[in-house]
Amino acid sequence: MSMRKKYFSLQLKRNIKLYPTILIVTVITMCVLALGVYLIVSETIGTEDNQKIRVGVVGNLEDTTLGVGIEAIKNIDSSRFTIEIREMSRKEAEKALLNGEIHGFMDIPDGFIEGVMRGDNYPATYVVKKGAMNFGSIITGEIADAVSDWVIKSQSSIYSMHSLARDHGITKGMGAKNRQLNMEYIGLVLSRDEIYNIETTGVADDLGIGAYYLCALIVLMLMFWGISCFSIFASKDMPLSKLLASRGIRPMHQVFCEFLSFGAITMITVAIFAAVFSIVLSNVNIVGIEEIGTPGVFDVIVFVLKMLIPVMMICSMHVFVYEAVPNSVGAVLLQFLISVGLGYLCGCFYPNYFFPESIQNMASYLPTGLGFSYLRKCLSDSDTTKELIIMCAYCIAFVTGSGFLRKYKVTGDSQ
Amino acid sequence: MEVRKIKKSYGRKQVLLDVSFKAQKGQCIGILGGNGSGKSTLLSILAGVQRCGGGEFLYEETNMLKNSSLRVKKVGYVPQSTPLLEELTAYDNLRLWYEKDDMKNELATGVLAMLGINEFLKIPVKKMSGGMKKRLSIGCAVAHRPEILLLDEPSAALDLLCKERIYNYMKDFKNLGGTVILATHDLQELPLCDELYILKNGVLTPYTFDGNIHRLAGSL
Repeated sequence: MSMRKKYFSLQLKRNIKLYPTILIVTVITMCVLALGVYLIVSETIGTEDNQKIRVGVVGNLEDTTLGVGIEAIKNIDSSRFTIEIREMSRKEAEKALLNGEIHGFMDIPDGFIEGVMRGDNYPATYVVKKGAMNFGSIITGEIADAVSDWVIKSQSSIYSMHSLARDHGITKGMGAKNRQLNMEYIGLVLSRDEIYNIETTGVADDLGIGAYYLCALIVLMLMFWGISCFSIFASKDMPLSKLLASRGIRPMHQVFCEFLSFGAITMITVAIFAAVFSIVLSNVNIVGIEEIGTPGVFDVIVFVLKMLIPVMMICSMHVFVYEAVPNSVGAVLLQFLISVGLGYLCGCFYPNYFFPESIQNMASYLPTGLGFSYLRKCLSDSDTTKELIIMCAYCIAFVTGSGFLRKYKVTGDSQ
Repeated sequence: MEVRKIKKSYGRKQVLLDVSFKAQKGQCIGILGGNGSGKSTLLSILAGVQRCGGGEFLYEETNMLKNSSLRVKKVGYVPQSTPLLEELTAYDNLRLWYEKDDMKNELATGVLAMLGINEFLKIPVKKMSGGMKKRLSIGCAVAHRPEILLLDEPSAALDLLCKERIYNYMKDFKNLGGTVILATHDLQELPLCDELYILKNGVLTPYTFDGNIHRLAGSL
């Protein structure tokens, strides 16, 4: 066996010996992160039954009839105890929807009321988050109730008018007119069989909020993994590198062997967590992650294989950080700051739509942004070629950079 | 072997100025010098770890600074600190440098037996004493049976018994025709050396130790 292979296998053995400690730290980190994600997701989708449903209304609200109608719902109708109506622009409504401030919004097109008057079909559109489809079904029920109520009351008014006319002695031709009125009315109602549409909008890449934060959790886990694996890098010392260099194993090769062994245990960890997660998913109904369903063994294998490139990229980044910062405490601190900072910029804690577009664009090319985008696209079955290419480039750059840093340290610090 | 006009500088600071010396097979060359005088730098240049600003390291008329494959075969290097994987056992660390069968033989009758590594073969390095670590380091460095051994303060902070083991090994290495280049502070190591040099302000000058410690200290 060549010395490089031996060095790789020894590094792997060393990492495995350190693995129990690493795993404990990782599980604690994961629990904290999962709790955070659970709180975010449950705040957004889990408490609808206990809270007022906040609905935005956008579109042409200048019409008096519509204004009166909205005011009536706000102040008079019994629904005011369960539904809170907010008037806003489409842009404000979209932001508020993503921000979780409203559960959905109703976009009323121009000429909606006139259309209703004329019997033309101008459908209003209800926009809800994909992860909040339950709200869509609530709205559907509300609309069905409203339409039923409308039909019943309109019919009552037709017959009341008939009764009033009869009381005032107007009877001639009333039966025919009454029948004609009813027929016209039925014609109007039937022509509005599609009085509303429901549109869904995902948080990103058409994913629901649960799937979005699952991807975020995976990326953050990989980022914090660098801190968990502190012990692997902490005891790394230069004498061994010097001895290896004197025996012809160049610093670049040393770093590559260390990177591969670190990547290997990371992949093992990803496989373990993927398997555990699939078992949990098949036994516990986790609301809000419809994109995953109940994964089987094949799905887990495919997932682990798909994770290879992002895992190697983030591992190479960890290797680079530990190589760049000679002080172990400083390196861990930097790892933490990088994990939190890049995670925040790339939308792992909170969707980054609220950042300026330039920051969003920059974030999408950062390692975390790429990893995050790749995972989201994997879940939504989109094309990931661009992300894979840039992640490979990052990986090569980090490993090469680490090799140069090691070379600098090995050849530059002994005196 | 011959070291000819080795130069090295860190930025503007000249650490080695035309350092030259010769050694025959079976000789031990001692290099003395104060802290930061450049002893470790010289050894790491000869080991091929660091690059120098000029000069030659000749072995049988071949410049080993240019011929790395020859240098890798002929030179063994023991750095000042222990070049070991702390979490692994002595056996695991030796596996990096030895083939399985070779290691078995060396542990039975060879260099590893002489260094007494059998005594702590299964102990993780982090639980070893300084002496054990140093012996293991030497065991690792000589796995490829080098003809030139570069030792950077091999017995620093070791107990007498451990020093004795290392000195015995060095004597044995010399007797088998090996050349030892030793960077040291330790007076006990001076009798092992056939020639002594003092490295001061980047210049290497020959020195004859007459037993006067005060004179030696003044020269450093």
